[in-house]
Amino acid sequence: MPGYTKRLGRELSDLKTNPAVGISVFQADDFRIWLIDIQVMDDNPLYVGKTFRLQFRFTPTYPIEAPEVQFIRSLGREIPMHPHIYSNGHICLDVLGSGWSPIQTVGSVSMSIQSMLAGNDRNERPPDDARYVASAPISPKQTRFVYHDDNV
Amino acid sequence: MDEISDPSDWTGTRLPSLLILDASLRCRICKDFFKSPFMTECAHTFCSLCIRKCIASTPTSETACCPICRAPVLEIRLRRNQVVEDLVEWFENARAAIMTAAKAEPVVISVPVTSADSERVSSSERRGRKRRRDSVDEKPSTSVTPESGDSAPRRAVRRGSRKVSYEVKLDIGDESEDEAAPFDLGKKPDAGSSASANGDSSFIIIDDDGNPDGLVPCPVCNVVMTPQEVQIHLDDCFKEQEAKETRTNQSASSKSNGPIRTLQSQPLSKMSKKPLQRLPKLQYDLFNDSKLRSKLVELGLPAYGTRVQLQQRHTEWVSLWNANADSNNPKTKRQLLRDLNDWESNLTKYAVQKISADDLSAWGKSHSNAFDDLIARAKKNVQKKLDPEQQQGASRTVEVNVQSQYERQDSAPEELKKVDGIDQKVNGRTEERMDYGCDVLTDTLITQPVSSDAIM
Repeated sequence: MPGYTKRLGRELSDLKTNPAVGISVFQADDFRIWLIDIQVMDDNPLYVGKTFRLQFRFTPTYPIEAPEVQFIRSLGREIPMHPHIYSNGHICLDVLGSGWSPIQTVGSVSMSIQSMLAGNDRNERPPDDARYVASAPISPKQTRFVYHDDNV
Repeated sequence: MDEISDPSDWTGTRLPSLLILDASLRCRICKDFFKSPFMTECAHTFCSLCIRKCIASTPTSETACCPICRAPVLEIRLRRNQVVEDLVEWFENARAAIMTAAKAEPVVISVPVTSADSERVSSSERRGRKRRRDSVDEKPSTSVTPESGDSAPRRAVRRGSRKVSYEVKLDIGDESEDEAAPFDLGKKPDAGSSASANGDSSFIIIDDDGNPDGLVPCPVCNVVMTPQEVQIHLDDCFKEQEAKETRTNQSASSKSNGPIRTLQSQPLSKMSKKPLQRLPKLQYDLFNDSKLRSKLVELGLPAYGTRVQLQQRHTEWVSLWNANADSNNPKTKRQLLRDLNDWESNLTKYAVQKISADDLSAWGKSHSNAFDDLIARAKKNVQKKLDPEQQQGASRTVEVNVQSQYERQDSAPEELKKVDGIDQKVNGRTEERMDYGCDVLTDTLITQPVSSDAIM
């Protein structure tokens, strides 16, 4: 069993036995793609009562390299409004790119995104949303995001 | 180790505090017990292979940093953490036994169970406890010794072919409430931990000679230790003994240590081996393809594939090799080559699966407008190109089109410059390769956003 599947197996059992509030595994049939549902637990009017679906895509280089993480649309699952989340689901968050560290886990990344949503009060998309989405690569990891806005 | 162990295994047992010990003996990168633990200058410990891979994955232009605290980490400054290695070895060996002990039901002594207590336990536990209590109640409430002729101790103390008898007496403060319960060491290894769980009870183990001196020798290896330790130690001791018997080339010197030795004593046979040499990292920029290939051949590695594959293979090999050199039980080169092969086949398997047909068609659909637009433009370009007099005009049209598109979207000035550069390239390539005009345009424009910075 290659190392990364062992680690993912461990993370999966941890997610299932000690689930964090508002984070649940929707689908994890293999060690390539996992779908995680997240909810924002405080009473932020932007996201109250809504559930969003995150897609994690792993490579054999995980956890040395970051997984590909993005929001996906599905029945009853929209892309959350956030100044750092593009309408195609790509997320501009440093821990998914240059800020990645191999000690991070699916749970900790989900929690970072959860708190990123919880701290937001702006009902808007990134300023360059239309341009980015028109020409975005399939994988958000192929985009070199510039992390300059720490306010949200 | 096939079974995946996890610190959370301790939750729900009677020793939940061991969760912290279990978690601290694991590498934060692979979440497994440390293998050849190495410490960084910032005093964080990782498996040798994990931290080496982590450092190797850092681009050469940047300094590698500690995964935990982001302090700079240099590979040559890593230091072996021997204490942690010993701790892990001990804990891994003892874990199963401690787990069994911690999961076994607590021994219920004659303290009456209050109604509040019985409500707290689940129905299944209650059944278990009741059965246990009944069996205890059957026995006479006086202290039992081997000499008393009672049938209880005889029933309890057989373990395999080694007829070692132990009689355990529970001594709880008040003498009048004493109750003796015989323990089969094999079936109920919970005796030691139940003693620690009940602060007011203690064990006195009387060995076959009837010497309750507090310390008892292990019946297998004669190591003297406290009774609690014997419980944990016994299982491992049997395994170790069996392993030793099969090992024919065991040197006689280690056996001549005498019957009494400490738990910590380790065979020193590994130390006598010649230490493996570490491999240096390469500055790949200084090697052209053929030199790199010959370097790989020199190391006994496969030398096929693209330059990127060659570099990745070499980097992985250096990490694997150096981590193996750190190990107390190094693998053979053949095993390492197999590991490398596994790693590479995983990588290529993934590369094939990475972008599935579904993804591509979905992406194609969502960008079909852009494709149509590009094809139309390319066709127009080709038509104009057919008329040699209009050649210059055609190139200019494409340039203006692309530029105006970006102007509309109100992009930064530096990006305009970049777009200009690409335009020129597009024009150049369209002119060179007339037949593929359409493809070239699409290619260039689709890959273009990859290199551009998305500004948030």
